[in-house]
Amino acid sequence: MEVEQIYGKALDLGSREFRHGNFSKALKIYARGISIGDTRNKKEGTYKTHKHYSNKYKTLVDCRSACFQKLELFDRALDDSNFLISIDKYGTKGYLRKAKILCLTGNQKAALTTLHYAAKRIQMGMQKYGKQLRVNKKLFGQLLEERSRLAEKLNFIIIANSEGKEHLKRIESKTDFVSIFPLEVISEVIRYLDQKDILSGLTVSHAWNQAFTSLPQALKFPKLVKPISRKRFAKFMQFCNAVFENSCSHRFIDKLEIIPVRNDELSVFSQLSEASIRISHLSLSLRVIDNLKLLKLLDSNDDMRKLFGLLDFFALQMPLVEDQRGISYLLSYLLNCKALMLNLSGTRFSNSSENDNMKMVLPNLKRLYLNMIYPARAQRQDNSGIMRQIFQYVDMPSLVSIDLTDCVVINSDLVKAFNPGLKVLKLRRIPRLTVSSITMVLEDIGCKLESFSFIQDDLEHIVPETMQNMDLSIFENLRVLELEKTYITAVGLTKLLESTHGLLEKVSLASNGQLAFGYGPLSNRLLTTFSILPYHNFVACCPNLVSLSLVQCCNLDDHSISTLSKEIIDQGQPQNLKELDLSYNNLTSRALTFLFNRYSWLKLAILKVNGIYLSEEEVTFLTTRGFCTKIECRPVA
Amino acid sequence: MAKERQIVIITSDGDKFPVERKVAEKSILIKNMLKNLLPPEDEQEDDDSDVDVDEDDEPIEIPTQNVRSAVMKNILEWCEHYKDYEFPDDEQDDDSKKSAPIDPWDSNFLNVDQEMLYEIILAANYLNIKPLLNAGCKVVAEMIRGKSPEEIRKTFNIVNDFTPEEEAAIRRENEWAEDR
Repeated sequence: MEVEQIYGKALDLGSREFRHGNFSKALKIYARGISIGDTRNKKEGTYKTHKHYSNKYKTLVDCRSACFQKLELFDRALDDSNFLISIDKYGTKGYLRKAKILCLTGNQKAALTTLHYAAKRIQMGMQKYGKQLRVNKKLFGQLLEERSRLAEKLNFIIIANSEGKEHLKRIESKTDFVSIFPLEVISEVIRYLDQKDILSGLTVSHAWNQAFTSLPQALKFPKLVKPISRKRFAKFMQFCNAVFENSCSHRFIDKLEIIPVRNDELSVFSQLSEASIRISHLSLSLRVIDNLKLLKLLDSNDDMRKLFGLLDFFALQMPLVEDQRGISYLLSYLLNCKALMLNLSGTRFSNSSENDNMKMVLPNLKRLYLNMIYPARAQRQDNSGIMRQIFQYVDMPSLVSIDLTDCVVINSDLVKAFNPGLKVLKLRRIPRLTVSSITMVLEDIGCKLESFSFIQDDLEHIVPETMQNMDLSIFENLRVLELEKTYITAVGLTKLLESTHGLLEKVSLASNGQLAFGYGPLSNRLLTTFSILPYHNFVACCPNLVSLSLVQCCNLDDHSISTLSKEIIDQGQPQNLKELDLSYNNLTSRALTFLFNRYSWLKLAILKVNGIYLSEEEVTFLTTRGFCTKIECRPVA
Repeated sequence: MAKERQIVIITSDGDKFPVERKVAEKSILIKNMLKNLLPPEDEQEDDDSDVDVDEDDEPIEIPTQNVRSAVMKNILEWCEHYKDYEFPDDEQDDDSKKSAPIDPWDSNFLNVDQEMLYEIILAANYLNIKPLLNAGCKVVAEMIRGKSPEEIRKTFNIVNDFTPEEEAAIRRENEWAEDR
């Protein structure tokens, strides 16, 4: 009998048994047919090439696989389907069988991949061989259908790219987390959102609106429109009430900045106090309500007193009117306050205010910032009466930081304000004070400053300060030193630097008239050799410097920079220098070649050389060599 | 040193995951459970109680009814990665935390589909694994950041159940806010 005939017979007999459900019998018949074929082929030496597997043989393998499948011998069934694929790579049957078995064993994902691979492969074959390749259209359609069914079930889509090639892509399941997360987890999410996103969230859906207004996080740092009208402020209060009520939380806002519309100041103010919300950080800008009106409000309004009494941080901008009771009474309502920033504007003060002030204490106040605002320099006033009210009558025993601008304070005010715990002192444009006079007061009190900034009032004429015969030990912990427009001499500054214990991280010197950085071409008449800053000592005193700023300095020219550079390289410090500002000096780009020569190890984060011209090549050189990450050089206006 | 008892976590679908103690203890819930069952690791040697030796060899089984195996596998991968890392006590300092970017490893680890991400977050919440919960919530927050309400709806497949009038009304209520 011919092989083909044997196959045909096996198929006939097998399928009869199969139809009657006798799968084991059918299996035996199919297997026998296959093995006879295999033996014959072996004898004739034709079994090696796939061409010699006839269609009937392939059908036999498929049928055997089907029997294994029915008998739940899935491993054997799978082996047969893989074998069928290997001998007939463009045939649909093997793939369909394999997918079916995979599905039965619960591996739908693999079934989908098999079908997808098959579809691609057969399509490729059709392209390659055209009509030569005979594909069973019906079975192929069935294969594609099955693939789509599985893809849909498993959340995949089949996309064709621009070249017509198809691939499988998982569709992301999209779910609303608000519907599945407990409120505490939603609040964790909201913590990372800005106000803008939280407000967008409110209009997403009812569920989101409900969830977002139930979380006090939504009110952590509300940002109000500036300026805000009373109508809009009322809407804000409504929002607050909704959130506090829904979340059953304390009526508390961490930080709030309010700039009311001019005519609505009073209304906004009373709305705020009536809401009885505790605020920790409050910034308030007033243009109509002055200190007297504010005081009147506080005197008469319980809620407002409570609001002020619980503030931790208060920044107030307000017009100031001089009065017998002055500003010290106002301060007495800020009992809990730890940091106070006052920006006060006013133009008419008497310099002596004899008043009936009572003494009071702000026991928790750590930081005081006081800025007197004048529309123009010429309108600056003697505000010493106000200052006396603040410093002589208000006790601030915990002050750590004092920052004063345009305040007319005298030594006796400073004596009252300073205490041994003072660490930070910033004074801007304070008439009649000098580095020496401040030092003497500090020394008397015995504070060890960490940061000292002094910008002198340049309208005055003061003798050069050499700091002679002074105890400068108050500077031994100094980390920040800023001197601008002072009359300190090179000798004085060197003494000061030598008294520090090498902790300085930031030094900034600008426009100090008695401080020269070299002989320079513009030999200053006042200049003696003693008033040139010795770079050797300067660099030796600053091993930990991170930021150095020498702006508008006398005789700071290219030669001076080359001396500085030599000291830095010779002494090998400051190692951590990250910021260098040499703006508005008599420098050319040559200075930078001294600073960043081949011995230089400087790696600056930023170099500022405003006022000198740098070519693009020079900038590229400095940045690509790693000397500086960023360079700022604006030409002089 | 006394032989350490094995810890086995059993998931909701009945799979068993044997884990090292320090991996399991990334979950504060499990840590507290173990505290009651076992002496602290460094004191085990001093443990001379009357406990039957045989009993010591029995693994401690910890059932977690709310977490299925596929999720637990991820959770344990995370715990394993951080087993030798001590997280700083977080609590507050919100400003810096808000701006801090997600750790790149976490970001890659959490690059899963939404469903899995949510399940990880919920499991981290249930097992009390704070740093993982935070990282997960940050990823969800990133999906919202800078998007319009319509884009948010698309991202999470949400049906807008507001009428245009209602939506406009809410927008008007928000007029107090800067950069809406």
